[in-house]
Amino acid sequence: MIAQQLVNGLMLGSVYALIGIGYTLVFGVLRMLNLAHAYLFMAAPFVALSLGAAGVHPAFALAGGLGAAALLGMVLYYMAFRPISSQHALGGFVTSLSFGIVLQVIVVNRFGTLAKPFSFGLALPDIEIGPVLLSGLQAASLVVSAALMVGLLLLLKRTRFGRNVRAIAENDTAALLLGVPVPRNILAVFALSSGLAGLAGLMVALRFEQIGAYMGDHYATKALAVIVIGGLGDVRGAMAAGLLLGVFEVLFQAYAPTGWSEAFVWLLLIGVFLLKPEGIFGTGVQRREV
Amino acid sequence: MNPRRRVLSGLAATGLAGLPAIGRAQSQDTLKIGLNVERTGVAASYGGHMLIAAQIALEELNAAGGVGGSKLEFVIEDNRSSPEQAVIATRNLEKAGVLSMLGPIQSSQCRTAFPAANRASLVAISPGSGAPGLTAQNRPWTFRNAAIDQFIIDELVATLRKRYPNAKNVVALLEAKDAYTTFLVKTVAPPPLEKNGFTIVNKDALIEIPAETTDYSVFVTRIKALNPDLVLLGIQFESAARLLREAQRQKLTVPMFAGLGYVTDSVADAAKDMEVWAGQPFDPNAADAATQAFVKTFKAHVEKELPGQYTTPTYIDAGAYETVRILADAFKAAGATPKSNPAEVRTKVRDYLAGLKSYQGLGNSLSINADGDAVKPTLLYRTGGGKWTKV
Repeated sequence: MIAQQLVNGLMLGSVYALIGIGYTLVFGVLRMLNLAHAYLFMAAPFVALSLGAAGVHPAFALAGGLGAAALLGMVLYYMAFRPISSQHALGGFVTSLSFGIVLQVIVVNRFGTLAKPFSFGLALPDIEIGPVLLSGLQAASLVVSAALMVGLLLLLKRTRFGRNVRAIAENDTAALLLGVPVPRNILAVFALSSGLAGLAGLMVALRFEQIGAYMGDHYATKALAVIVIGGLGDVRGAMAAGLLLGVFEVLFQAYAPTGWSEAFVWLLLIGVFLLKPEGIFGTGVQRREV
Repeated sequence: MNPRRRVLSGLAATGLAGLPAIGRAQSQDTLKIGLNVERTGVAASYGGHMLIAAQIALEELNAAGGVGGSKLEFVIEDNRSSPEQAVIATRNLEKAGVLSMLGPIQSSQCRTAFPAANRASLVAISPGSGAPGLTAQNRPWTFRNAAIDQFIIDELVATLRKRYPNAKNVVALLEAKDAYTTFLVKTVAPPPLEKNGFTIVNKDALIEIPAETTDYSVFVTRIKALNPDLVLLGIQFESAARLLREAQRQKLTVPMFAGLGYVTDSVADAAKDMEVWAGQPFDPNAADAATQAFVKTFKAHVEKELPGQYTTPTYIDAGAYETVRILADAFKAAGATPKSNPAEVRTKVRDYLAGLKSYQGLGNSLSINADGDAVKPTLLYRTGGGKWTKV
């Protein structure tokens, strides 16, 4: 059973990682938490569902969901972050949460609160290795998360866009004075980050074949923990922390006394945070402050 | 918030704004029935369907001229599947001047709403609650037109013993934080299981499933490791549908059983060829004309209002439909008019319900016993081939 539970944990963790990577990207640039992230995770499959119901080919419907998440991310930037002064520590925190809640209310009023079937006939076959069973879609999620992490690291380290983003993260005023098109780059980061949230939402929807207006709530707090433990703004840390959280959550659910698993997960997170407040790879917020 | 705004906001939240006659604005010349219903939260699936069933009865009654020439009207309060909110909803309905209250659906909400209704001298009648003793503890104002879980589970377990003579080990799971499923697994099920020679192998380590879970793989792996002959599903039917899909993926195909509220298309679809056993006091395939007409109308409404949701009515929906009609009869017997004193009508409705005998419901004849519970038949069902079949 332990091998299967480890695999279950890695699969769950890959979803946390995918959400966490997008989450941490915005923090890296703005040093503000984007609390609408989990709501964009929820919105993407609903857009795909609507397109599918309207007769759009499944592949295009899913791409539409992804695109809608990216677009919503840009709207989010213009509505909830750009008008807020960067000096206001909690401004974006509150406005992004408000934006997310409005999104959720729109979904509730349009689709109701009941779970909706989400089947696009794209289920990947499961993979059996001895007694261990891997979900095809979750294995894909793991591969996609890893590929995205590598891709994002290359994007941030090797491209002009990446240099611009890092310059903005370091000091946005100095970057502006040096000719970096700050608003345009931040907008691109929002589109990228929100697209990642949408991708995670679509993969969860395809795997479990059901979606609901509150499907992001469970992942929201976990993703927050992932980016804190991974080191705020650290893409590699978010990936590692997501996988670790998934594995430990599953192991606690499997082996901890009944009723205690959730408490153990959060106690573990507090412990990690106390021991490594700068994040798993030590490249989080503390380094920036030095 | 004033009552009119409550109704409007309730409609917005339910997504049922398209329904024609759920009290858009309270009229002064109607007879009002309060609905204390789980429109949001974990039991929202039941609430949306129950509203449709109640609405069908209301439309039929109003189309036939209402009660003594007065139309009936609903005042809707969403209890958000929360025991605390169910009390607030009860108080709001009492203040809104309703003559009776239909709901809540679940025992968890009834546990708090029933004492509140009893204190307010307001008739409350649940179409879904099955936990024993809830009405007996809150006499004389509370009633149920549902079924008692203990009767269902007793009969179900005895039937499972006959069907699986060599089965012994039962693995039980429950939904953390849900009072109903905890009560089912810890109090209702153990005595009949023990009496019939079954053992709950994880009695001291029940598998708790958080309500917001989407990934059931860890729990199915745990169940498999315990090597059960049977699985007791102490979780909501929507969670069960997801668990069943994961069980098939992990090739766990042992029979499973549950209490009330499972006989839905969603569970049958998810179970495919697995055996899931459950019970309820309503047969949607009953041959009588009233049942067939109700089932047909209900399906048409659900397809329009709740696309993608189960379309075959459950005992809750049938109970809600029957109850609205029973309340209309009670109003008629009480001589209720929009000008009547609500307190006087409520007392007469209470006495009418307490004395109800041999009412012709949907495929049954029901009576209210001394505890305020409807006595209805216990029907057992089993899944197979994506359908429920009456055993």
